[in-house]
Amino acid sequence: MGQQGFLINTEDCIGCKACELACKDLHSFDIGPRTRRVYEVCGGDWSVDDVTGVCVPSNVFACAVTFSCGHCDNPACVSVCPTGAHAKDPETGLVTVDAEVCIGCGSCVEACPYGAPQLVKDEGVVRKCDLCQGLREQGEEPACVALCPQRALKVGDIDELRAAYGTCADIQPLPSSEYTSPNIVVVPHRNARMKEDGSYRMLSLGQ
Amino acid sequence: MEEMKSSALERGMSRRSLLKWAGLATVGSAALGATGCVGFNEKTPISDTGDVDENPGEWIPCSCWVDCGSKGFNKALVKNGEVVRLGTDKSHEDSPDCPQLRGCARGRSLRGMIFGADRIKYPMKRKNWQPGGGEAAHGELRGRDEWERISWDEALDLIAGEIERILDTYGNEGILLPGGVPQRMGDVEIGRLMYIKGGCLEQTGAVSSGAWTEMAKLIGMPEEQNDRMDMRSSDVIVLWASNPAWSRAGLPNYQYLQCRDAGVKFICVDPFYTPTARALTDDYIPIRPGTDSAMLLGMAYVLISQDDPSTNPLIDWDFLERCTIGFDADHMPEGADPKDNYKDYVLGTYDGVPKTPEWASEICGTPAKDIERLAVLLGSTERASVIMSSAPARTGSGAELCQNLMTFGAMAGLIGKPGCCCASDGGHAGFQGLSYSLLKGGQQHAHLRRETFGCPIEWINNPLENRKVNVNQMWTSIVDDRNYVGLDGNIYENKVHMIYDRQENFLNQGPATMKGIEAYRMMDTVVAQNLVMTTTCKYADIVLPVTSPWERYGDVTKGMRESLLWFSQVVDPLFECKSDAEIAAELADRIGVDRQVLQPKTEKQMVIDLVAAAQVIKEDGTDFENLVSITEDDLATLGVEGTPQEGRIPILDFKREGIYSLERSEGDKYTSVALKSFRDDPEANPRKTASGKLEIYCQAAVDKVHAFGFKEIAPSPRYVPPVEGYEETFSNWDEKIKGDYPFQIYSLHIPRHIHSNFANVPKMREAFDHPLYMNTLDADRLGMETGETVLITSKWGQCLRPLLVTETIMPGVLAMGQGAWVEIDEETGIDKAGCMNVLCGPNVTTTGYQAWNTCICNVEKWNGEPLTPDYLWDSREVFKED
Repeated sequence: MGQQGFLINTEDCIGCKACELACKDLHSFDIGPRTRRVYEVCGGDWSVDDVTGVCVPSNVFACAVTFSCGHCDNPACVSVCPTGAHAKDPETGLVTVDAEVCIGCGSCVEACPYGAPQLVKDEGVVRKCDLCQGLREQGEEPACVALCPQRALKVGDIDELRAAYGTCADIQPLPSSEYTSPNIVVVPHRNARMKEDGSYRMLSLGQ
Repeated sequence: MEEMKSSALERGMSRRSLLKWAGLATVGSAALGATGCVGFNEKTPISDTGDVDENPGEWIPCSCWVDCGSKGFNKALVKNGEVVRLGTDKSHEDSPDCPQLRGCARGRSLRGMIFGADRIKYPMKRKNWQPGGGEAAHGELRGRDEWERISWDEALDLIAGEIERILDTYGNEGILLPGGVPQRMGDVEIGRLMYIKGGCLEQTGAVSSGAWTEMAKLIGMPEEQNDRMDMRSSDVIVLWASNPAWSRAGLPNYQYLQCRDAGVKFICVDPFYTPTARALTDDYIPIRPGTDSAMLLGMAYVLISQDDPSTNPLIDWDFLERCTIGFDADHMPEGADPKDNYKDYVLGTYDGVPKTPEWASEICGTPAKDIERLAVLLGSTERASVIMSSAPARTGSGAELCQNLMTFGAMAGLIGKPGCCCASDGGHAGFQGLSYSLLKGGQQHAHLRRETFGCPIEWINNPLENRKVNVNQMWTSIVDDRNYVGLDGNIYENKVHMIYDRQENFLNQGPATMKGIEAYRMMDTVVAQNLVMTTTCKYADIVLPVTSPWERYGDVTKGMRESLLWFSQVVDPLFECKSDAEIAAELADRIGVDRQVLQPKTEKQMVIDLVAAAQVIKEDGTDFENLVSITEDDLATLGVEGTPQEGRIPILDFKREGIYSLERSEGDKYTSVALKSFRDDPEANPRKTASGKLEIYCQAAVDKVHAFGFKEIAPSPRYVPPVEGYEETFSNWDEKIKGDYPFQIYSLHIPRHIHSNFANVPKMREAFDHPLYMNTLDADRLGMETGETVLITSKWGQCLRPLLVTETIMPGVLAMGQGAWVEIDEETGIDKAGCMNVLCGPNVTTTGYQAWNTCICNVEKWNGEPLTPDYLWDSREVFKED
């Protein structure tokens, strides 16, 4: 088994957040930690005729991106962790945090550009996506993948995913992949790439 | 009562730990009737740390009973006495033809509702309330009083005493049971109790389907769409006000993906660029709420004026001739004024107003060229469908919308052909399985209904059926004057002095919540029973804790067209919770109703009877056969009475698996096309209308609407500006001067909650926003920004919401989710939670349906304290546990 990663098909995603709540349920999290999160962006323009009130949209769009962890080639969390709690598995490439070693200092939370590590205040430790390693060893899919109603989220060997779906790892509003080289393959939404100049807004209160 | 003490306590668990996600498993595996089988092809469960756990736990199919209009399959992994996580359908390999019936974000959050800190734990009484009515009731304190914990006996005695007193003093119509349309959890038990006792006042007025509920029967147009396999053969599908991504979580969206991948072109017509559209299309046509009829008439004008049967055939003349009446002056029913025909109305022959795309455009806000383009596309495409949600039929002129949609569909040749349909989706009925399902049986929302297939008990009707109060008058006939129009069209005096709410939440979910609160405060006595402190509980005098379906023997329900689901008990009843049936039985003893008449069968026996009655379509598609086989041993194992039978799967396998799904493939015998047999041979397969045809001219609609007694309707499709529609945002329409309520606002089914279910679950509030949506142009003009708190004011009430500025909503239109639990600031009277029905009024409608999808409002900057994120708000936890 080589480096593992996610396929994120933003063309099929409707932003229903089943994956996000599946992740919450698996960890029995209440509010606070969001080890998977769905981001939504939108954009476009409108004009309104002063006399008739007719409304004309142009290039109105929205799309959603789900993200948990990139299990990166250059994981920022691993490099800043003062206790060695974060580690990248040499075989599978999974980036995991050992709760027994973690002191909950939050360095990784600050360092990760994707916000993948989540501080669990009740426990005083950081938790993050481990790609449901335990479930997968038993032949199950990760909780997020198994629930996705659009079948827009997959997991697997990153080389195989790239061979099948391409090498794109960038989409708004995720940070540039050049910093940490995440092991994700993004099927870009047809409108997401159009907005590479940044003319989009978050479709969210940021709660 | 002592015996109701939760066994969790007996086992030494603290109540606090119980509410922190834990749920105790039912005792042993007796509920399964089989030895502990992991089932579902699941492998050994894993601990959080990834280690293989010695204890595999037990997967139990668990109900998600809320009324979302879709259905997903959930199961709970119970281990060491706790529900540790949820799973979904793995009964078969996943494929586009045979997709797994996967759950959704809400289903996966069920633990947050069932084991949340705000679960009602004990019977309780409002501190300053006393029985007997009058001053002692201190009705003015409802919603702001303190609570006292009381015993079950005290609670039941108080309720029974008040029922008897109200019946003696005011008669049976003195007790109102809101809700019941359709029936939900708790309705049958308490309702049946009251029916046996001589009846009670209930509410009427269609909810989800709006005007379709009555109009579909009158004009002959069913709320049906074609089978999912057939939909793939369309060339064009127009999703009109239809956003299943939010309103029908799960499979419906995945089925549309299959259509997209099969080459179907999608167009979305909506005030909102919907999340559904994201995956399907960029072809987005905006339209203002409540103006759909104008657009359909503009499209009809295009077809009529551009059609040429030989060179440019746009109109299906053959279908109009054979299958409809009233299209033009030559096809009117006997006795009708020929001038009332549809075609001449569209052309403006008699009123001088041609319903051109330009005419429609000024009303709808839709570019005229888009109206023309859409009309021509639908008229000229061989296989085209218009799938409209029922939302447009829940606006002030919803009945006219039904007439217009059917008529346009008939003209454009969208009815009764493969790849074609033109319908209110009835909750995406073809996907949901309510109409011509491939399986028969099961309840709805974990509850029996009169029409439940194989209903195991004799149905008892409310003797006061005819006096039902229309939901739009339910509160005004208490607050403003004491009269209302009954279901039979007669005027009645409203004598209500007691409200008994049975797991409904209509104070929150019916129109005119502010009037409702006033009405509640005028009552002698208000009782509510529920899982959690909904709005109806908050404003009650006595609140009873009810078990969830996870704490009951089980329930059976359909899943889409192709699955039947059987959910079983997951945990023992929490705290002092009783089932609705237990509460009804206790009350029956106290008010002199025979328990045997009330509940002739046990809950378990009824569930098994329903399962035994369930049927599945045979492989040749012609007939049905029993779903389950039952042996004498099975009956003994289950501990019920019954008769052995042959069936497709053993009953105990079905109970363990919890799901049976038919195998599907393209070209199988199970596909269906709405109205195909009617189109093929209308004489042999007439519609149940006066003429047997689709009635573009419908005298029955005129008569029926008149009999309702609220408003009048024209016999043929018209555009009637709806009450609180776009036109009313102006003080001067001709000069386009805006009035006091310059915005239209309409309600969305947001994914945070389904109606008001899950609205209390903090992690759902955290995951999903509940803002006021506003277009960028409006926000710029008003100097408003995303995140700031704004004040929304309608004719009926005021709400605060954080603003979300977006290009995905059209200018001049605001949108807000419906379902939030009202939180009135008693100083200002302003709702902080964003409950849509604070803004929507009690406007009466043609057929009595609820028109709360849209109204008009103003929005201003809020200078008071800004709202904090509502997932941080205190939950309605009445009695804090140690």
